Amino acid sequence: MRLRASLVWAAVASGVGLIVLLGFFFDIEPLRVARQILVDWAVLLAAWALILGLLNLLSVHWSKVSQQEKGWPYSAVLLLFFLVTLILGLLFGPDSPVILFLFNNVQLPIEASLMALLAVTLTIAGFRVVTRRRDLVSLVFVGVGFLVLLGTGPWLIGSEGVLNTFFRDVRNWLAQVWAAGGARGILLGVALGAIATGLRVLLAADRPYGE
Amino acid sequence: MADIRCPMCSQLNPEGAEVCAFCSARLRPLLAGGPSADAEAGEPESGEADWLSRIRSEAVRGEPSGEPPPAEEGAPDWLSRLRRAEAEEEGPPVGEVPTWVSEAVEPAAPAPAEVAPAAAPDVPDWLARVRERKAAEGVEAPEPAPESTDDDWLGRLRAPQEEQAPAREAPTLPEILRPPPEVAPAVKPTPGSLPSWLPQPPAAEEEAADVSPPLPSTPWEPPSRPIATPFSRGPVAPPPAPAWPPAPETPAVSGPPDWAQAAPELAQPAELEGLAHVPALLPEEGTPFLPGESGDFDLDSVHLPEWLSEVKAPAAPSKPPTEEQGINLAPATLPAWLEAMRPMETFRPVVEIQPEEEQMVEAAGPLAGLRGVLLAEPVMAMPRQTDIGSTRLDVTERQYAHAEFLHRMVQEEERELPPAAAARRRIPLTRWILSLVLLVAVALPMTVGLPAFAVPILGPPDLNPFIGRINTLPTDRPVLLVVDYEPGYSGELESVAGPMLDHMVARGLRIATVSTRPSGPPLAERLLVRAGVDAGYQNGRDYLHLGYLPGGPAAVQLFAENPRQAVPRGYLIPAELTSRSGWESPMLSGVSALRDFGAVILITSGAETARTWIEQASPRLGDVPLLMVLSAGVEPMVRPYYETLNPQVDAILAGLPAAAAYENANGRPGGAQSIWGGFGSGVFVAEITLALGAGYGLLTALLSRRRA
Repeated sequence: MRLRASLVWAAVASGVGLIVLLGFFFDIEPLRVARQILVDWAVLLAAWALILGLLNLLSVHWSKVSQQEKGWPYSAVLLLFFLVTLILGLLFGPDSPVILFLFNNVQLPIEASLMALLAVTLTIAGFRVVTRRRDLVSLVFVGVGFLVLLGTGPWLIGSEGVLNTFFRDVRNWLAQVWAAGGARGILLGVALGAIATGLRVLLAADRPYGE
Repeated sequence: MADIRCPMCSQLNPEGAEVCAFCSARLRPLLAGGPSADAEAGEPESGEADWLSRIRSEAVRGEPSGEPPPAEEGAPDWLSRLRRAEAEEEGPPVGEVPTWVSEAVEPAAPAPAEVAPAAAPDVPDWLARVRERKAAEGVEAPEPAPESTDDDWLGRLRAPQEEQAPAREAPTLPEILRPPPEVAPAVKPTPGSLPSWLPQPPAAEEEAADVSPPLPSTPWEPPSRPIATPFSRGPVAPPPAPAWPPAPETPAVSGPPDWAQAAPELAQPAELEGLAHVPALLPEEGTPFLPGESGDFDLDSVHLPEWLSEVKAPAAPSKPPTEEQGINLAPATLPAWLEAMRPMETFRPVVEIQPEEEQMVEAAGPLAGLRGVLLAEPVMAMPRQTDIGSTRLDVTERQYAHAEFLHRMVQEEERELPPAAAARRRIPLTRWILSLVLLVAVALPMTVGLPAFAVPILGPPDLNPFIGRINTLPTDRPVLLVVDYEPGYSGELESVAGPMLDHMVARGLRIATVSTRPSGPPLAERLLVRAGVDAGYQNGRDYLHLGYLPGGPAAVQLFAENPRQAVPRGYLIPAELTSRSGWESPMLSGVSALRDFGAVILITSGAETARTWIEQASPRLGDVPLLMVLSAGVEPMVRPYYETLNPQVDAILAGLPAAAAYENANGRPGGAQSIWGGFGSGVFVAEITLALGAGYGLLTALLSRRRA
């Protein structure tokens, strides 16, 4: 019985995958409609996944608060403002001026500040790396960062000089040759991995939906 | 008989030889001073074996024992004769082992047979007087045993027993141990007249005190568990039940002396002569125990010496003792024979070294004449505790140390560690200083205007193609602006996208926004309000927010296939529009697919989002250009889609310098140039920080290497 059920799930997954995949290559009306319906269902499921994620977040922090675990006050603050935002959104709608005000004056400044702290943290980390860990890799890491900053940032003596242009070219060489080369490798690996994963799901070798 | 056997090679040597003719070992001991002096003084210790001392003194002097030593006072004649007879025999050196012991050990040895005839006609004086008194009393004296040369009184003590139980008589008993049956000694032996290996008769005043009440007549039970005897290597079976229960050590009530019956059966080695006081009396095998033979021994039927007769009177209770009397026994008073069987310690923890003058001179063997010779008896002859089956655990020091270490480890595991003291919190001075410097460096140019950094005139190579793409966008079709970045990146991306939006507004392009992130629509509203406020752009007429597109890559694919179906509800849709989706807006009237837009411009800070739009939307774009406004960190990840023969991304705009150059190109300074000073100052401080750190690291490395 279990074998039959797993065969059914595997057949469903493989069939859906084949329909969506064939829709990319063949512009046939029934196939295109079926593919669109299936993708629409996937979008609905993804939206529900977002809701489930929110519910999971609520339950996790609720258990922290109820069991008085370490850091439970932060969880309590999160739950409080989560409920406030949810209630305001349900009452006034997501595009109401109240929600927009909260977004522009609470969420956006906080997240921007965190990103600014990231810049400060990276600067201090670079300093500590070269002072405490004096090896070749650290020196190369900091040296490349130093060259990229020289080629990116403005110069007090002027940004159109020969030296500035030289460092700008060095920066572009580093970013467009070395970094882009590494990025190509990463992207190729990701593409091959996605193809392999898709084929395994289509062939029912991988069954992420369960046995 | 006259030959001397070498103690080393056991070869016979002629009498009078000093050294062995075969191995050159000394046959006669050297003259020693100390003990011989004592022997010559003729002052034996009281109660000690004076006869043994004399024999040793003879050996020390080297005198052959052919001439009998002068008789000493108090020494019985039989002993003198015995000594004379022993001197003539061959065997071990004189004085080492008494003859009777040799007989007991080796019954087949010819020495006793030779000794007995020599001593046969001699009768002690006291024995002669007894015989005379008996003869006078009309008692028929038995045939004097010619073999009995000593201890006739003991033999007579044993005679009645032999008459009552003739089966117990040992057939191999030496003749010296066969006293005349009914001859009792008339003279009480004095203390010191007996050999030391015989129990000395108690003094007259001590006899009464030494007599202890007899034990209950209950049969003695042998020990149930195996007993490690000193003559065996392991536990042996319990010995056969003795013929009598453990008796008090007084010789009066136990009949003949113990050694007289035990000697033939035990075959006691000569080295154990010091244990001769142990009454290890074992019956002959197969002899049943009869209580009447020993326990209820009739003393009246035995002729005892006088000193024994005096003891007999108070030591014969008529009725058996009660149970309480048995309990009153001292717990440490073990039977002597059991005491003798207890194993000795395996080693002596303390070695007692005597002064040189007190050390004994070796009298025989190759070391004869030397003083301070280590005794072989504790090693060779003395009973020791066997290793096999021993209950004592033999633990070495190393094993003990390991056990102790393991014990400590277990204790450490069980011990609760005290809570670690809170480490003194150090102020992160370097972190605070660097943060403060960076904050000041970023804030000063934006507030004071100093230091002033020159705005770049020439942008990066990618800027002009991007500007060209914006310039070529059709104005009759709306541009889809995808705002897919988090609010944290708004500081950078709003500055980068600002000049582009200014350019688009300047060209009068209509803009429709969409986002795959919930925070996208408000960010899009911020961008368009800031860019179109001067141009009078209005929501619903010049721009429109299609809203949030949930579902990730699948939603992008669906949006690329059918945008109207993918986004059913817009964001900040004007009230004049009847539909909440915004698709009924005149601005989007001719848009039913992605290719109906004039261009798709993606503003993102994530490489994953850029890849999703490239992979899912670009196949449905047709000739519609895909432009990207990127964060500086994402640029290397998107550039492979741009710098290729068939680019999927038509133009990219990344980084603040490009935005500042774009603003210069637009001729309208915007947000990029407003933060350009702070950006330049912050980057400059970061450069200095890294340079200082690298210099400090290299300096410390050089110093440490120089110290090393």
